[in-house]
Amino acid sequence: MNGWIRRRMAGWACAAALAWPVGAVAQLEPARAAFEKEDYAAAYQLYKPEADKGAAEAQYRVGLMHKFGWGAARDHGAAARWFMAAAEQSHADAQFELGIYYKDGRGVSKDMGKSAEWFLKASEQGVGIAQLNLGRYFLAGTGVAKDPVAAYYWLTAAAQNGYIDGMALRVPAAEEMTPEQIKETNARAKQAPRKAN
Amino acid sequence: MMLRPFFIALLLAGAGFSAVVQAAPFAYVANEKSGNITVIDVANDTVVATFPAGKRPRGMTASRDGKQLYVSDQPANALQIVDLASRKITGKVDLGESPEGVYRSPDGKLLAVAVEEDNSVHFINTATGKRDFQVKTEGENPEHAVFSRDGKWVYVSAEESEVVDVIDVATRKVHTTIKVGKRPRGIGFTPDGKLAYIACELANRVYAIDVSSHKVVAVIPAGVRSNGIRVHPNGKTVFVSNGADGTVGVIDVASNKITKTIKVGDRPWNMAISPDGAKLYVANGRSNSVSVIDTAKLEKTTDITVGDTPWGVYIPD
Repeated sequence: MNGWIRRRMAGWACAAALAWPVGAVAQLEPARAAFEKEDYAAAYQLYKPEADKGAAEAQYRVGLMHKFGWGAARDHGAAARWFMAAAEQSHADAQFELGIYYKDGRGVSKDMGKSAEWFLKASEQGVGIAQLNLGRYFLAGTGVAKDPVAAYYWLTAAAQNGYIDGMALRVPAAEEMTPEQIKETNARAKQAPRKAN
Repeated sequence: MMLRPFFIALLLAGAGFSAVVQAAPFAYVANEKSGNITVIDVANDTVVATFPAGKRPRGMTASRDGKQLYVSDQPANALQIVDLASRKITGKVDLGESPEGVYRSPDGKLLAVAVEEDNSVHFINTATGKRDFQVKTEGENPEHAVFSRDGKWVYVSAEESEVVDVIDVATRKVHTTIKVGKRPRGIGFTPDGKLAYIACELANRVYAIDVSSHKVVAVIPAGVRSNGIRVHPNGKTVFVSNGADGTVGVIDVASNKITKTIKVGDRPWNMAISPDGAKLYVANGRSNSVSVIDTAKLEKTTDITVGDTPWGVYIPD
């Protein structure tokens, strides 16, 4: 194979690699549109092949549809498997859903430690409701060692993300902290991860 | 005997007092942090009493005969039963962890209590005072569990999901789950039973749902942190409280649009309407007050000071 052909093939390979994400998103658009219109049967038919191919967003949506019985059989085991597939690809909302599933023992065996782990991953990506749950866990020592500073941090982060309950919930944590700890944690929380609602 | 007229007068006075306590329309305000309920005389918007109601009272509903008030008490994980004549707690029903909204079925036979940490709705038999059954919700952290006008369905808002669960009361199961906006909270049904309105706090939107199909038929932009819903008895207007704006939005049901916004106190939340529909009472959680709105003029007429962190107002119908 001469150099010219090699260079051309390399160029085409690069173009294909750059185009793939755009193509993948474009392929999900009809599925997303069907989902938004509540045409769940159509959404499932469109999302499922993409989920099978490994698209995290599609896996998350298929998980949701099995969780709620939208266009698919209500099946918490199947939902948990799809959430896991997406969560392992760092899909933040899927990580939150998995945290809930381990918390409730739905589709998986109840495991508060694993619930906390997935809430932490989702929290680090700015999922406000995961931050609220994680903050509660640190306050009560559920699935994690009790830690008022961590509780205060995550509950403040949750409040900044719109879950204002966090402000009231962090009060017991503040009672176990020094003024310096509160000041430092408030400053740190200003930089806490946020995800658009 | 000379004392007889005195005792007769005393008996008559007591009967009259009891009649006043039971007959006058009263608005009950659950004050979360002060652990009591403020009683407002709806006729003249004055506070007539305050009584203890557990540690953290929130949702309330009355028995159909108006004699008892059922109040969810969050740390007690129970429903407190208050005798309204004496305004004293006379019993309780143990529930799961963190009960919140309490609603009565139209026939008065059942109460539906949303129990947050259990992810379930507990159904209490009002005749026996005991739980008949409970239904696990698909959504996470249920807040309100409201009967449809025909009593066939209970719509449940899940604070930590973006869904409303629809419970079929006869089969005691979740019939379907409706996708709405982020953080669904207050729910109200129109008097004809055809529509349900749900405020979604983090979406700043109100969702209108056709009850016959359980499908969303309109999404109405509301104020910031829209959360409480109250439907006017005439079925033409829905009120939505906007927690961050400190306002109440007025939705015209025919057009499903906000037609007016009324300034109230800080963090307005759950509301009630007087039985004649003339006045809307809005609990302002951060002002420790209740705003009263004239529903004909759509203007605030007064603010009434109540206890610490009022969660909501309830007026028996």
